[in-house]
Amino acid sequence: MKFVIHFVLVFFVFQNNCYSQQSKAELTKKFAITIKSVDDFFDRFNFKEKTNFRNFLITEFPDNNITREKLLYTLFNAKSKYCSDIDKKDFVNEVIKESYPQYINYKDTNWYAALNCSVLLNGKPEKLLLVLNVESKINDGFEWSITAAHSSFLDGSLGEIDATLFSEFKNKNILSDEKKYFLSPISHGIDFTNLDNIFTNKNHFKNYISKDIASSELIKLNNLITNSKIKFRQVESISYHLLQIDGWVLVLNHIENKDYANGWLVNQLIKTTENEKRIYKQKSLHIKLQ
Amino acid sequence: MRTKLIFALFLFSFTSLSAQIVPVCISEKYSNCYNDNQKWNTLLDKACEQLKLKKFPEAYKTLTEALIIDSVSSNGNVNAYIEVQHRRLRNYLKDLSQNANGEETNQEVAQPKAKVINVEESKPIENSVAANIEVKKVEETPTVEIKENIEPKETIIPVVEVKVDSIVSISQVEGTKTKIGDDEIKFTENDKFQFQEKGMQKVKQLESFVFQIGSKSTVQSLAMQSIAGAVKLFDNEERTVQVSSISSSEKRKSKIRAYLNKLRMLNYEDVKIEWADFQYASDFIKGRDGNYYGYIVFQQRFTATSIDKQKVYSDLTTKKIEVILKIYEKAEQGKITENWDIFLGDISVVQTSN
Repeated sequence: MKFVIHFVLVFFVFQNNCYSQQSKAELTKKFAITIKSVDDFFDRFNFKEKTNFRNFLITEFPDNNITREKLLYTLFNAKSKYCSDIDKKDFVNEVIKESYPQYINYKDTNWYAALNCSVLLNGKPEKLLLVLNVESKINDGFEWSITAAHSSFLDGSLGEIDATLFSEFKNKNILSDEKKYFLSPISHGIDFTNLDNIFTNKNHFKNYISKDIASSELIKLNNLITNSKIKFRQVESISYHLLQIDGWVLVLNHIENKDYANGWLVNQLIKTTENEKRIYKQKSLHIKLQ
Repeated sequence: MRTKLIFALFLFSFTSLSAQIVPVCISEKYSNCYNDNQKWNTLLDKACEQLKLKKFPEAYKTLTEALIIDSVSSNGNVNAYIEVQHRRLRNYLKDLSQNANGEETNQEVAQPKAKVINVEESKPIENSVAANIEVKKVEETPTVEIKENIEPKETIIPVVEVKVDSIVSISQVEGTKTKIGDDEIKFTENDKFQFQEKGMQKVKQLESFVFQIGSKSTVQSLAMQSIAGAVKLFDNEERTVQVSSISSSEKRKSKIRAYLNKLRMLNYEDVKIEWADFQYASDFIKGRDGNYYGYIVFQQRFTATSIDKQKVYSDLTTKKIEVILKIYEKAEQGKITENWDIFLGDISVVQTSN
């Protein structure tokens, strides 16, 4: 707990809106403390050694006995009403349990990025939710693939003709000359600024979809893209949904706090059963489970 | 005892900041960098001569020109030794200019000294975080130094692997990994280090180019060469740079060449762009196309000034840049070897503050 207080102290020191009034050393420290990426979050969660952040802590707080438990508490948004102190305590105790410590990894299959996008549909602004996950399709390589799409303009059932596309989508086969139509495995690192490629490479939408996934929403989106009826504008916000910890769902958001920890923090901590996780995928992430 | 230690630390920091190492030219090392390009060789001689005459700004300009030529002719694989000398010279000139402009550095140094005295007088705060921060305030912004003895053109190590790990961890020390089975070899720690260093080197090259392009004191021909050099650092011209501003939540994207051209055309008297706090944020992960992808996070400080030298716009942004490791086959003397090179990819902006 003392460690957490120290962090707060640090942020009081840095509490200054105007960067030009802060020294370079202060800016560097603030930058070091901020959780700059999901990878950074993963490293802190796993208490990985020899990372930039661990090195920073050792240098700045040599007298502090930093443990994984203490560090885990700093990964929550202190201002969030969706992370109760009781849940946080339960969660941390479960994760660090000596007999069964739990860790998270980039290669885990059970975590998702939910992107709130703005698009133009026939010239009219609309919102589109795209849910992506990391997977390996071919060549032992990894990539971010679309698992679900959701929007009011994608509602409704498919017509008979479109229904034939369903099996085509599900049994999609990536040809070797289509190797370049994919989202880089570190797209999360650059906040999916490359997402517009999906809309630009109109005839290759299927390449960007998760294997074995087909849904009426994705087929409709495919049709809109290939017929140039939809134009991508930008990713408005991103949340990450981590379902790989037994009994818990974590939702990460990019948080800008002036006097607390900043960056990618747990903004929602949800205690769940495995069945509830399944429902969460269907209802919250709009994934059509096959 | 602890207070004394803090005080000693402070003094050490003060000394290290004040003692600027004057750049010199070791003729032998410079001549070792000669290549087939006569203009490059001439510029190195010229820079060396200028350094010997202590004409530092002139030497910096000459080395900048040399590096741009080298970068354009070598797809961004500039001579590492000269690049390090160039960076040192730039840092030296920066320190000189800071000391000349209102003794900004000394003011920063003086402040913590007073705080240290307070720490001595007030024992209870000795162990506080705040006390530590004040003492270490004088430390310079840490940057990742490129090791002087790296010679990238000679050290492009052929990657002999056929099948490699899908994730190359660059921050974990796991020891050297060797052959598993007949055709599966993983990257060694040395490989990972080389990839990491090379990626960082390319990002810093880009920083130099961006600085040159933005600066109004850069002559047009050199700025154009810098744009050409910067574009060559990317794996293709379709790569984009995302930009933001304090006044808008919209983040716009431009292709790399268009972005650099716009940067050159900015309607200010002068533009200063500083990048700092570079760090690798991820391991290199294999993609569908067989290349490996990682990214580097850094801070950008942008300052634009008007004719009367008044600051008219400044912002601080966190940027992320994709780094791509490409492995390719090369035929040399009848043998096919596998080589690698690092390129830059898309650049995103995370947040903007004033």
